[in-house]
Amino acid sequence: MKRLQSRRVPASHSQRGAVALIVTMVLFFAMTLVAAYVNRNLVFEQRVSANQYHATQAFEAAEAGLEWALAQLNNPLKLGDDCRPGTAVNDKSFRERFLGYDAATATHTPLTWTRSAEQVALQPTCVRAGSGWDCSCPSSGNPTLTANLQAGPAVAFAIRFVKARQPGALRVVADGCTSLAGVCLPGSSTDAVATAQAQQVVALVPGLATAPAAPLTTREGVASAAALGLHNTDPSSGAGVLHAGSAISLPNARITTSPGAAPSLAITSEDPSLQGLSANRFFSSFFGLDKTAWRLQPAVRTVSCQGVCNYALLQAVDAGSGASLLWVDGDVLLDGPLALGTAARPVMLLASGSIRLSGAVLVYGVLHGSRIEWNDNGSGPGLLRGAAMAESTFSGNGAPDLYYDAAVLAALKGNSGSFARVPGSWRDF
Amino acid sequence: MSIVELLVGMAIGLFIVATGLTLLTGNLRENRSLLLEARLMQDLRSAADMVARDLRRAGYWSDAEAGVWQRGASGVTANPYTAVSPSAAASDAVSFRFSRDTIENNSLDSNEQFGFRLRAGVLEMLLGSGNWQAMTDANTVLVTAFSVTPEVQRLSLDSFCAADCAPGSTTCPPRQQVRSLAVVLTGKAVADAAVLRSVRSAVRLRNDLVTGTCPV
Repeated sequence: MKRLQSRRVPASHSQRGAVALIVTMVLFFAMTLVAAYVNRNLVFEQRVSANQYHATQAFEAAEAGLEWALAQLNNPLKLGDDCRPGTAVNDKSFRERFLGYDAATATHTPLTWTRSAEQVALQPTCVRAGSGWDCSCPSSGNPTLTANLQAGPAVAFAIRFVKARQPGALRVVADGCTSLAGVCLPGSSTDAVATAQAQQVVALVPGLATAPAAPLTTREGVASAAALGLHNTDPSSGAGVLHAGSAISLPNARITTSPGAAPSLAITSEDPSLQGLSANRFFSSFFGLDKTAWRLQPAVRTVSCQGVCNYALLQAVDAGSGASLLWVDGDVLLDGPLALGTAARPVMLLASGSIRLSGAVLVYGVLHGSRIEWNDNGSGPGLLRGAAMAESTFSGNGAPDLYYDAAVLAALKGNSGSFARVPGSWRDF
Repeated sequence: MSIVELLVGMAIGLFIVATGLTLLTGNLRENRSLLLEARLMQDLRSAADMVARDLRRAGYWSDAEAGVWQRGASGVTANPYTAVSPSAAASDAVSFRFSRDTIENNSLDSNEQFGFRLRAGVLEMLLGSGNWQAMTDANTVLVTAFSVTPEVQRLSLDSFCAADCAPGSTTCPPRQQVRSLAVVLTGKAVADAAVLRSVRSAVRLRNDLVTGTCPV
């Protein structure tokens, strides 16, 4: 027993290996620290590249914001609060949601909302979600958005509009952030890692560049035996009622011009300056663009219709808000009774072919076709408030009343068409 | 402890020390070149970033609205800041302008002229007319090449004119020049000529140049 006990290894002796383990581990730890210290430049480089990544993200978001805002400004469709096409009663186009239009000065002013007696600009805001953007277009208040972080980095931008010095122009300011915070989420108190700003002035290329001087302008002649009504009492336009490039035959026309003036003086026929124009130049003298360029404007909707065009046109007008710019390839047939446009929302109906109207068609706005024909179908006389232009002739057995409406034409000149970038106005500082 | 134990211990010890020293010197050498590369890359990248950022602003005019034609107006003010050189062939220097006026004076001030050039292995930046400042450190980086290659796309604005252009006219129809510049910056470390790095960036000038006029 005693021998067994003496043979037993003492307790202290059995623990000697543990000290070696601890010493080794401390040495390893020290080596790791030394290695990390030696490679601190790598850590620094990691930080630099992370900064660069964030700065680039924010800058690209701001740029995307500018592009998005310009595209939405030229989108004629009504949008809901999520900036997607909507059909609710209160839905308005992006332009009407964020911009007010003052007809007297023809300027666009950014709309605001009231936050505790303080006027705050309305700001559309978007956040990156997967492969697209989730957006908020509030009609009042701060944007309501939440970031979906599962779908990748939630880069965000917010748009602000600033009144420009000239009528028809507008400054778009886009703030881009690496996350939905700070300036990119108006009303939030958090901060994003990186932010960038880009701004750009956009100017309106109007749908109607130059208003005609008379309710009816034809490059060739006008022939109608019916009691066609031509009315223009607007002195600033010269109170002309008909401007034609060839001979006219209007034995029964009803003419209203400025008080005291002879009706025959209000008619200009066989005008060589009209006759000398080609059909395309006749078009661009009013619309400021050639036909292809006008039709390809983002704000213009191309409508295709077979036979009577009433339904397709009404649908196109209903889908948008503000002035409707409509283009039809080929002929347009409109059967009365039909009301197209209102004084507040005029319509521009341009066709590559002829426009044939029957009976009680009521149009607020501008008609332009290769030929205009207005016949009677028993539904009553037609009415046009605005102006009509024909590349060749105006004819028909109907007796519509064509009123020159300066207010409608001014609205089309100042508040329709597409916004385009102004060269020289981009900046990021 | 016997002599044999001592000899074996010393042999193993020496072997371990030798291996450790080899590793250490290798590590130090690698670390040095890594540091050189990182510093070179960092210097070139920050220089290229600055070049790209400044070039992007070329042509900015704080009164750009005055360049929008208003119906009834006889003409528009021309942007005094549009000039960018080179305009066609590649070059080792670039000059451009942008407005820095709080209230636009429509004239080219000395602090509104900018440029980059390569001189004696140093990339220099023009701050104010004639005042060149070094952007890279000649003690650490030798910039061997700096090239700016313009690429210009011309879009005809014929469809915006109300009348036909005279045949053979060079100023009609107006043209919109969409300009982009390819910038290449190559440099090597002064301490080790074998460390060579190159940075490329493509800069699309945001402010397009519009030249020519419509017939009256």
